Amino acid sequence: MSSLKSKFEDFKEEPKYASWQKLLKQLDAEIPVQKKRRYYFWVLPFVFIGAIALWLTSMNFSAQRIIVDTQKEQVRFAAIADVGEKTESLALNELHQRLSTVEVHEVHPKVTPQKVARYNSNQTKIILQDEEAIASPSSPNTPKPTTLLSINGLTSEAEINTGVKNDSEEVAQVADPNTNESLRIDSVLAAEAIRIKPNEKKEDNFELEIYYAPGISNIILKDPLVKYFTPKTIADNKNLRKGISKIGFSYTTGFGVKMNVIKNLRVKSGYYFTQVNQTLYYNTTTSSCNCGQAVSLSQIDPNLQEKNMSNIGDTISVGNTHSFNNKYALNEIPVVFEYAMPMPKYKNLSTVIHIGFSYMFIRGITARMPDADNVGFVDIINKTANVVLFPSYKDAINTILGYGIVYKAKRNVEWSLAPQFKIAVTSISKNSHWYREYPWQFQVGMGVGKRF
Amino acid sequence: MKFVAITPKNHRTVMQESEAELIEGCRQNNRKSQERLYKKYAGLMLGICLRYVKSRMEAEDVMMEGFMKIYKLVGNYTATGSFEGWMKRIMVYTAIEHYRKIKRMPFDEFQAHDVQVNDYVIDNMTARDIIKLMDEMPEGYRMVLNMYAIEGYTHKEISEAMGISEGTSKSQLSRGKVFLKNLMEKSFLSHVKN
Repeated sequence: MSSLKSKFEDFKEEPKYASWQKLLKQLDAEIPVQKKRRYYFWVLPFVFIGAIALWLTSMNFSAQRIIVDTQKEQVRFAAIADVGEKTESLALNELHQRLSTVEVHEVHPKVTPQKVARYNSNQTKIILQDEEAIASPSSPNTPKPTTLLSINGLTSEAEINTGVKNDSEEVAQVADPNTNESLRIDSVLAAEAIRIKPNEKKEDNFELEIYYAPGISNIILKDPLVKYFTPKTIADNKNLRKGISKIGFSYTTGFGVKMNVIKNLRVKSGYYFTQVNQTLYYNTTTSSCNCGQAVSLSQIDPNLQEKNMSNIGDTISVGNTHSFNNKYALNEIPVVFEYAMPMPKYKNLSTVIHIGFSYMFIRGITARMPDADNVGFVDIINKTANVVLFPSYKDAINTILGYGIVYKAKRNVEWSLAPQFKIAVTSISKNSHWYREYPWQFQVGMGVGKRF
Repeated sequence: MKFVAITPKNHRTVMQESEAELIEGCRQNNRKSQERLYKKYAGLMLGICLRYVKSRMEAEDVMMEGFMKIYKLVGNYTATGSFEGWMKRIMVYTAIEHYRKIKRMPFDEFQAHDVQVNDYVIDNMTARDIIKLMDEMPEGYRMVLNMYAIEGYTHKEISEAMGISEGTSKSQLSRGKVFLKNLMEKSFLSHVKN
């Protein structure tokens, strides 16, 4: 019969009825072409953070502009307050105050230092003279305070109210009280030379954090989907699954970038490496070992042998107990919102709630799973650290919930300590796997961050 | 129960670059790659299917179904064995599935002595001739004979795949061999006479 085998080794027969077009129709119906979203999904957190950063930057810029503009208007208003809406003394006080809170901080290219000095000097002289004049009014003929009267060049009421000439030249003239010389001051140039004195230091919007979180973990095993299993096997596995999985240790480490969204609310993203450990405790005495039923990998799924898996330990006899440590190495991209609640009694302490999710993908696995026939285990071994070699696994989403404290050690350095719970909401194993696996972790997150 | 060992690294087939690209394209559900794969292997796969079913049209249907499975499962292929071998295996299982669906003929227990077909007879027949003769065989015989004598499956694997006992698999093989031997000799003699 060996010659019969050799007869068919390279035997080919070209199809007559079946054609690619026919198969294509079937393919389009069953496996339609879709754009891969996986890579876009990666980009999403970064786009989200980028958008918020842009928004915040523009918001700050706008706010600063508004304050500067308001200050300009106030100075202008004070300078032309002689229109009668305010008393002279009130206007003078206001002007005095305004000028004391502003400083020449940044010089417009057209404003020379001499111009600014002269402008400031004149303002001071004018104010002093005006104060004197107000303090000792002599007669109706006494000239009105220079500040209030000597600004010329504004013709219409609108121009007086705004301090800006319609032709945009915005020229104001100030009479020098000593020489009685008319000094031309470009109000625009002068205004450009005025910036708010930063009374308060600017809030830092970003924080770079180094993170480490040790804790405990396990993997919830749920019923397999029936695609490749006979009902009998599923039922057996269900019994075996009960109590087989024990808690192991886990840790997460990586870095995060936090960014202010609104007051007390920050969003964090970055990169984490997580290792989830699980102990499988297999007791053939207590489990429903159906040792007589022979189910090979090829019977479950003819392709399993191609999946870098093997069933081992089928010689495990009833009455023995065995335990194995499964290790799942995962990469995580978190997006977590942190809401801080300051503690009035402790100035540098805040309590923080963490809510968010992380996108989790397999980096490597060294694990065993109970065999489908309940006799022995199946190895899922990371041989070459190639993700393609874990065909039964896929990316998943974690939810994250935590509550902890933040200690502000210095103005821009923070320490954080937050116990948190993470659980996968989508399974990390594909339908063709023995179980649907949902890792969870309870960890104490510790971080140190620098604001900038 | 039999162990199914991990394929050792030193047995790993080094794929030709073009085939690796083809597989990657199929993984990405690329229609061009799927078409190239189909055109490259359709003949070989149909050759397998023809041995498992009675009519050519039926064989082509099985082949189409097999290709659909290959496209769906190609993501699971890990290059630990030959890709062609992996596809053949899927094709054989698809044919078995097809057989199990229709199950036209029940298996019966029958013990027969091992039968040897004269190599001279086989050598003087083409694969097409043998397939024609196989079409005349009862389905149970044909399936088991194909799986055991041509594909190299063990009785254990055949019994698991077809949902029969190992004893039935052995008896079907023995009967199949006798049946095919008779057919071959008859055909050979008529050919010589002519």
